[in-house]
Amino acid sequence: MNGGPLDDVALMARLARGDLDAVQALYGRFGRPLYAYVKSLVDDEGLAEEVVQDTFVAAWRSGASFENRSSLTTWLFGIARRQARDRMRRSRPETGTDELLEGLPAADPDPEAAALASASRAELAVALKRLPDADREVIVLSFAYELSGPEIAEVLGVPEGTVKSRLFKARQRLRAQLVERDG
Amino acid sequence: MELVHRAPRPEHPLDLLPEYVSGRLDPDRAAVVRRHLDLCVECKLQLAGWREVAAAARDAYSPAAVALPEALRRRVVEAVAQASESREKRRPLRSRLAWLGRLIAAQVPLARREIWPASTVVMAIGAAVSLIADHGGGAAAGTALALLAPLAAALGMAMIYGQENDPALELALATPTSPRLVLVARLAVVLTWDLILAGAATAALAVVNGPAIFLPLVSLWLGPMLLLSCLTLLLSLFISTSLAIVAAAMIWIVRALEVAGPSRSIDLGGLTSMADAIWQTSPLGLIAALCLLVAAVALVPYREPLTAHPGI
Repeated sequence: MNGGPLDDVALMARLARGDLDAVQALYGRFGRPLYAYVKSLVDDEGLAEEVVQDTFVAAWRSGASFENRSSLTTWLFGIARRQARDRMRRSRPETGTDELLEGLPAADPDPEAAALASASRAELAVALKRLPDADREVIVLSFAYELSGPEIAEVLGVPEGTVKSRLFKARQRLRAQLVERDG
Repeated sequence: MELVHRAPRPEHPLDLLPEYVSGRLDPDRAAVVRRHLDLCVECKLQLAGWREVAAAARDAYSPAAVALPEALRRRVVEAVAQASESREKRRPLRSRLAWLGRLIAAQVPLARREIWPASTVVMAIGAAVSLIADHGGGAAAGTALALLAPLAAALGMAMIYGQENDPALELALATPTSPRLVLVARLAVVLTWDLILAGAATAALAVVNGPAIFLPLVSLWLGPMLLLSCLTLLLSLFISTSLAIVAAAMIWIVRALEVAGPSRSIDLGGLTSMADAIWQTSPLGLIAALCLLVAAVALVPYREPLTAHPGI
């Protein structure tokens, strides 16, 4: 995913000129991570493909405005996220996050600190899937994409402190799910 | 042992652990965390928890774990190429206006050549007769012009569109320019020409008879000119140019006789006064002209002159 910053600016300038080779190059670097990220957001392969297309078209449209203030990765992920949200808003009225939140156990302080460490990978995967979208998103960006706190903040358009608190809240919810299963 | 809700003590670098796990902590802070972990069982347990979460997230969501659809590359490139193409087509307003100007200018050589001298001659006759007959002014000043100006314009209007009039039309209609736009462009050119001529003739009469007659005279021919023109245009589109000219002339003559006649042979009551209102420079007359024009523009793509059918 990483290219030199100057390469990135040059690539985006070529893209803005409508150079289709630049689209190919950009897809070569970001096609897979963007598709995987979008799929984690929309959980539907067909929709994910459409969102990735929209993302590249949007990146091409605003390619001239890319000034290397952010990394190309966070810039593209931010676009992909907005496109995914737009699509989901159009395809279903609500994302269902609130319902998910209601369905989960309240975040009561659980003393079972080893719950996560002792859970099986499969159990954790299920618990991750059941997390509210906003919580799962920070976990995915942190660990599957290994983005830093400031980078995630940029993709999500929230302060870095929010990223950190969401991360801990997500972990707490995961743990609560696993404890509930055990208990 | 309650770890998350308690504010982390400064010596427990709990909030650095996620980035430590993902390898995104800078080397200095990573070293601090490492040193702490060697001594703190509590934080080691926390770290183990984060490592499990990270591993599960990587397993399920890392790009390498996802099967990338093979057709996606092609679809992305095509989507960008298509968007790029459609942006080319959306030209800025200035160049669209320039294009519209070129389209209108292109109608001048394409329209039937007789239109220009024919309308000029008829209009000149009207002005000349008015000048001679009404010399000295009076209420009747410009009557001939007011009678002939609408007819001159209608004559031109009957000839602006259709294969009968325009060998190049077939070619023009094969271009992406819509037939409606071609019609409106031609109409604008011819009508502007007629308005200039009639305006100039009226101005000439006003110079001779006094400026006070200018506006009343304009209002005498303007409304009828627009109405008769639009009516003739519609007839020419759907019947034929020659029949449209004949029909326009007849309608106009009947109208002129009716107005000039000492009394109406048949009293049609409300209908007569409505006809008077339509054949004037009045809101009703302008609305009637506009309706005919809209009908002509709306229907022109579906046009199939009745004369094309044998027996009609």
